[in-house]
Amino acid sequence: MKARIQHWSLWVMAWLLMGLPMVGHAELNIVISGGQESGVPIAVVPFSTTTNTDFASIIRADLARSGQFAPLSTDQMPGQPSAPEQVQFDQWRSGKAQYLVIGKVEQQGASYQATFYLLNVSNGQQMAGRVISAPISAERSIAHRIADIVFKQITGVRGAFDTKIAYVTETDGPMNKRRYTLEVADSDGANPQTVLSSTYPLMSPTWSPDGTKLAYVSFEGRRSGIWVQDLRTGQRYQLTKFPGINGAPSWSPKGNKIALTLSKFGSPNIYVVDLDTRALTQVTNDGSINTEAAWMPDNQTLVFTSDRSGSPQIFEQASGSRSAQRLTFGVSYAAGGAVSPDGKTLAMLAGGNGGYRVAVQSLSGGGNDLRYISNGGSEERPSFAPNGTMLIYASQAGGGSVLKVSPLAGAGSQTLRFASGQVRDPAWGPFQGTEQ
Amino acid sequence: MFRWFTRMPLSILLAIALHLLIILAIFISFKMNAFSPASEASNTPTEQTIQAQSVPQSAIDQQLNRLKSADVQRDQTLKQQKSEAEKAQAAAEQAAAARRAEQARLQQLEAMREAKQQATAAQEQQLKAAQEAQKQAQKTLDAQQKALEKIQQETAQADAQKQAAQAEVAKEKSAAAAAKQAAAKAAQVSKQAAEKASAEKAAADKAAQAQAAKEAAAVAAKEATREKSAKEAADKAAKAAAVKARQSQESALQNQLQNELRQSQSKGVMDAYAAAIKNKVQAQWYKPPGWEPQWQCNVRISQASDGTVINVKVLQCDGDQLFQRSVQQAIERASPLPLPSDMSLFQSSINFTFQAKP
Repeated sequence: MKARIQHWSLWVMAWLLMGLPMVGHAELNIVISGGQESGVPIAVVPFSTTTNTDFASIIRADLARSGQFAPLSTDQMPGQPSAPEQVQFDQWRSGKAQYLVIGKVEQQGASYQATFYLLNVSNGQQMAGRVISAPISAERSIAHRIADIVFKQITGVRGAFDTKIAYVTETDGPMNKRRYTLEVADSDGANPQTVLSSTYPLMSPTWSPDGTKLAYVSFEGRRSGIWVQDLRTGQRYQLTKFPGINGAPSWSPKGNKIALTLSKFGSPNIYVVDLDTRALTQVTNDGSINTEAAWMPDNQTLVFTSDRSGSPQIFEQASGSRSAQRLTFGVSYAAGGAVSPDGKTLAMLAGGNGGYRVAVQSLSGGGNDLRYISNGGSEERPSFAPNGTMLIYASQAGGGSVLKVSPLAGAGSQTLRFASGQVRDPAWGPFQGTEQ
Repeated sequence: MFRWFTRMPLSILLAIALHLLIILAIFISFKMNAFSPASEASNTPTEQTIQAQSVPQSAIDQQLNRLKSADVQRDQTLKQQKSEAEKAQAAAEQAAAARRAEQARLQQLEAMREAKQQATAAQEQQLKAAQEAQKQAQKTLDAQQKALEKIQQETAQADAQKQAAQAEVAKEKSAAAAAKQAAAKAAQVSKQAAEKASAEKAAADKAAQAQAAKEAAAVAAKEATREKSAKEAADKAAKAAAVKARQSQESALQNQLQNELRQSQSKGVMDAYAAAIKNKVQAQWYKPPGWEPQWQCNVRISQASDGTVINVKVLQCDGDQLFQRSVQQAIERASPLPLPSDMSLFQSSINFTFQAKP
């Protein structure tokens, strides 16, 4: 009986505790729905500098390329402060910018030193304030690093602007001979450096995960082979020279393996080379075409293109497994698969009525959530930025082809500018160094 | 029972203490709910309203508390009131004060006429006509403000006319028996009025009152001119009672009108206040690409009395950091928030729900 009374008392107490604060207290609840879809309005004020480089415009282009920011033009800025104490926040609050990037760049001997600040316009808080220095020859990297810090501070995702891209160019050389080069450039296409030049076709570069080497296909000697080249020393060696096709290399996430396509026994199949032992393991084994392997983050599972079901589709197969699962169902043609660094998204070249366009789907969605990223209709195999927020791909334009970058979120693409000729087979390099 | 006390005095004491706490809590909740000036009257039960002057307060009270409640309750009160003429009056007063006032006066006059002509059938027809008019009036709810003005004017007119009529009646004192009959009929009619009154929805009252006032004025004028002989039937006592009832009803009407006006004004102010805040925050919300339709963010803000947002607390939020930041930015950029035109309605704490789906 006592227990029952206590039980009852507890209920009353609970009622009192829960009920009392509600009594006679009606709060105002307001629902905000929709809003305007827009990149984050951000003002990158021209940096105070004695150099000719427009650091702010490099940062603006980076942030805009991500699709998640809408940088303001300079005429939308109520002032051009370069230090926090110069900022008239009241003026900025009446404008559109939510965030403000200001700073200055000074020369210190053979290097530049940048001091910059990221400020929250609405509350005046300083979200970042850093000093960054770089050799004069790498002055643009200062801007990319600032863009990375801004991106990380606001989105929570590591920025991938201070990264490199590799790609192949094809131009008309002397005596009407075709000339092929393997190039490495900044993520915005600036500072291109020729890694290799050849009169034989070059194809399909792939980055080592530490960013120090490239593997690629070269047809030198009139036969295809996979080559590995050290970017610091320029030294290179031939990894494979099997009869038939030696193609589509893909460096594994841990760096110890390269997946590739060989046709040494007839039809093209996927193989894996262990870089330490040079042991070759066959992954697929059938009479259809199997190519364009790409690694899942587990360093074990591969996705690849196969026409075993009729039209080309993308499949997934674990190393050591003998069976593959089809991943793409929404389109009649799906090839050139690429896996996002987090392993959640599959990017591909999807073909159908609208030509060949870059598309993505979630790897867990059963192919039901395919969505197109590019809209040109004549694109080629995409490559993920190391933070998974952007894709780079070649796109046919006029007589040649150009490189384009599209954000996964939002719409639109930025075309990277190059001198001339055909530019194709882009591969986005890894993060450089540790996160800042 | 005693064994409980001896064996577990603490629990019993706790139980009693909790009872007291509950009662206290309920009392506090009543106090805290007390928002409108009329709420004091809410503590007085309707049964007390025998005296004519106390009646209007309960009428206001019920009106305010049941502005949109079911008619069932009114039917119940009506049944109680049917038992006595006074209770009927009370019920009548629970209805819209304006209409009641006018109807009561009308019915008294009609009763006087009936005392001579005993033409009650005609009266019932008029009452039915009034009912129909009131139904029509219900449809014109949106003209509430105009109706309020009208009723004030027409009440004044009717008052003047009735005062004139009553003055004439006072001059010619006549048989007491006729007066009693008139009083009895007045009571009957007021019962009918009570039925009608309680059957009607509160929202329609103002407009209905306007109609009723018109009817009453017209009838009063007719009665005054056509049937001067009715004056003889009027007794001094009946007159005095009628005047008293009318006065109390009119003051009730005034109170009710004021309260309704104040309530509707404060609701309007509150709505406008919330809408102004919503508009300002929504205009500042730049939702970054990559949002998903099901994303939702609940935040609570507190603001200073000038509308400056001093704290934003994210209670629950879907989406990535960029999305969450956009919500915070929307509120911060909307600061200072708009203020209500009546600062007594200012809210120092506001909950926002941001929905990505348009």
